[in-house]
Amino acid sequence: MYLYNDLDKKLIGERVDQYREQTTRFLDGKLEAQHFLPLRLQNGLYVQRHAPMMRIAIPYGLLSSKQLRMLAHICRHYDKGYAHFTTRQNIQINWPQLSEVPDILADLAKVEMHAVQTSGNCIRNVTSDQFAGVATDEIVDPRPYCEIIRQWSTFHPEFAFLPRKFKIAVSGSIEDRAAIRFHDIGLKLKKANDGAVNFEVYVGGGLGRTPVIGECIAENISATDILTYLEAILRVYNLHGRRDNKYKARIKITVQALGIEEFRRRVDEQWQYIRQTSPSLPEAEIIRVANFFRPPAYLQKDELACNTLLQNQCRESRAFSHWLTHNITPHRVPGYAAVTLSMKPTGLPPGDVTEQQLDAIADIADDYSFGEARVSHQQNLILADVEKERLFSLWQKLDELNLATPNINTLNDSICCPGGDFCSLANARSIPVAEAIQRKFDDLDYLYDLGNISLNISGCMNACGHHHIGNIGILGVDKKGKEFFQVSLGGDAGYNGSIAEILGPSFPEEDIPDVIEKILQVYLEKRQENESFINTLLRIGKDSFKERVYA
Amino acid sequence: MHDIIKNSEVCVDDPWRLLTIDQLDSGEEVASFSIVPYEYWKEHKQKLLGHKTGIFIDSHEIPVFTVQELEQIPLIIINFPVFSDGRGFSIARILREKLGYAGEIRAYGQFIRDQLTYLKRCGFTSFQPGYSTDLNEMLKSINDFSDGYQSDSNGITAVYNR
Repeated sequence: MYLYNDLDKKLIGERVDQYREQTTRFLDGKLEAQHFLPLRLQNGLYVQRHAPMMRIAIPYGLLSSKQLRMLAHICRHYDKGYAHFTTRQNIQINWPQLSEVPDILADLAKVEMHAVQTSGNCIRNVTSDQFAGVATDEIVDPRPYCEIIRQWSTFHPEFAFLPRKFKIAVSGSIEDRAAIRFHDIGLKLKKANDGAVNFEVYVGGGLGRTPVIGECIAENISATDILTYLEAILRVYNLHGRRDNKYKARIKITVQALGIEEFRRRVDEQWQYIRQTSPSLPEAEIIRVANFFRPPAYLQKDELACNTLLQNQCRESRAFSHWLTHNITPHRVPGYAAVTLSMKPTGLPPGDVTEQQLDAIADIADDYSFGEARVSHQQNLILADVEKERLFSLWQKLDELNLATPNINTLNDSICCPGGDFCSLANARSIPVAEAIQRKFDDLDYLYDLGNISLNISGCMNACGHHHIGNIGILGVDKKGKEFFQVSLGGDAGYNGSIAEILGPSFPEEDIPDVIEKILQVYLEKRQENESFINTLLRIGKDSFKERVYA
Repeated sequence: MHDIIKNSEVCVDDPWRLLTIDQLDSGEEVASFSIVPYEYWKEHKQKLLGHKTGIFIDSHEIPVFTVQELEQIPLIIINFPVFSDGRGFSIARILREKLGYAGEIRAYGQFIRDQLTYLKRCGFTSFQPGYSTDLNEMLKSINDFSDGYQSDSNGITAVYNR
C-alpha cells in the first residue's frame, strides 16, 4: 500500500490547519455561508437531512488495518457508532458536528487519510478495481497509476472550481470492475506487444439525470503522457463546460454539445503545448510508486491440496459451501483467494458498517490478509490475500460478525444509495425497498438459481445507487407527493456499457417485490441453458417482461 | 486610488485605473496606467502597444496574443464575476505557461481570500477584490500551502520530477 512521504504529510497537515481556520471564521460569522460552502464540500462535509454528513476518501478503495481502526474510533467518538460505504469507494458518517470536523480531519491525517475533494466541483477520489493486483484477468495493475493520479489531482490549483464535479476511474483487467465508461474520464490500461503501458481514454460518461456512456477520445496514450493528457482534458472542460445551468454542467454535456471530434481537437490543441511546457511522467517515478504495491510475502502453497481440503469442508457444511461459491474470487497466486465480506445482510442498509465490525475487520485483516482490506463500488469489503487453508476459520469469524452473507453478485447484493432516510436530495426511501426485495427472495436455492444479477436502487435521479447500470434498476420518483418507483432493465456497467431502459409507469413501494418476481419468472421461463439474466434479456428483448409486469 | 495585494504584500495607492467600454466610447482618454477591456484593446492595439496600458479579460474570454505583444503589456487583469467561476485559473496558466507572459497578472472581482493560495500557484501576482475587505486579513491565506504536487510558475517542481 502507498505510504505517505514528508510532502504528503506536510500538505495534508496544512490542509487540516487551513480548514480549521476556515471553520473558525465561519463559526465567528467572518466567512459567509455561500463562500464556506465549496470549502466545506471539498473537505467532505455536506449538510444533510438530519445533520451534516461527512464523506471520507478511501483512495482507489485501499485500507490498512490501522486506518480501519481509526474509522472505528471516528464512528465511536464523533458519530453514532456506524458508517456507510458509498458507491465510489468512500465512507460516510451521518452525524458529525460541524465544529468537530477539523478534529476528525486531524485524526484521519494521523493514519494518512483525509476527506479532500470527496465533494464539490473538483476532481474527486479516483476509483478502481477492488481486485487490483490479485485478479486473474489483470493486464496491468492500476494501483500505481491511481496513486499517481491521486497526487496530481489533489490540491490541483487550476481545477478546484470546475463547472461541476469530476470523477476518474481506472481499470486494468479484461473485465471492467470499475465502470469506467460511466465516469467523466475512464482509463483502461493496456500493454503493447513490446510491454509498454498505454491508456485507452474514455470521456464524458456518467449517470445522474442524463446517463451517458463515455466515448473513446484516445486509444493509445503512453503512461508517461497520461498526466499531461488529463490536464488537457480538464482544461478544455474548465474553460468550455457550461456554468449557467448546473444540470448541464458535467463534461458529458460539453462533449455532446461539441461532438467528440471537436472536443478531441481542442484537447489535442491544449495537449500539444502542455507537453512542451510540463515534464512528462518519468518511467522511474512509475516504478518508484509501483514499488509500494509489490505483492506481499505469499507462502508456497499446494493448490491441489488446498482445493481438496476445501471440498471436504464443503461436504461438512452446506453454509460454508454457499459462501465459498459466492463470496470467493479466484486469486493469481496458488493457494490464495480473495474474499468479499457482504455488507448486505437482509434487513440492514446496504453498505452500512458498525464501529465494532470495523475494529473486528481490522483484526481479521491483520490475521488473514497482510493487514489490508479493500472497498468495492458495490459497497462491500474485500480481503484480497487469504490462504485457502484458512478460509473455513475466516468464514466462521465473519459469520459471527454478520459479514458472511453468501449473496455476492446475487439479486440481494444490491447497490443502494442512503435515500430519503438520510439524504435531502432523495425523492424516495431506497433502503426499505432493498430490504423488501431481500425479504421476498430469502430462499438461497432460488437466489442461486437466478445466477448473477445486478439490482441497483437510487432514491432520486442523481443516481448514486447506479440504477442506470443495474441489470435491473429501481429509481425512486415523486408522484404528487407520494413515493413511487420506476423499474428499468438492461443496464451493464462493463466495458461495453449499456444504460437500462425504463419498463413503463412507476409502481408504489409495496408492489416492487412482486414486480421483481414477475420479471424473474419471465427470465426463468425463457432462459436457455446457463444463460444469464442479462443475456436472456438481450436475446428476447424487454417486451415479454413488460407484458408480464403490466398484465 | 485603491489598495491591492501585490507580490504577497499589501500595496497602497495602486496607480492603475479600470476603464469601461462606456467610458471609452464616450471619449475618455487612455492615459498611462489605464486598463482597457480585451475587445477594445484588440481593436486599438496598434495605438496602445508600447504605452502603459493594461488589459481586462473577462472569464468567458480566451485571449490570443503574440509573444511580441505580450512583451509590451505590463498588466493583465482577469475578472472573477463570481468566486465559483474557475475559468480564470486556466486563463492565467495559459498566459504564463503557454504564452510565456512575464508581466503582472491580477485577479479582479469576486474571488475570495481562500482562493489566494491556488490563484498564486496559477500565476497571479496581484489581487484586487471588487468589494471592500481588509487586505491584511485576506493576505493571511496566500500561503495556506507551502508546497504542492504539481509544478507551478512559483518554482514548485512536480512531485514526480523531484
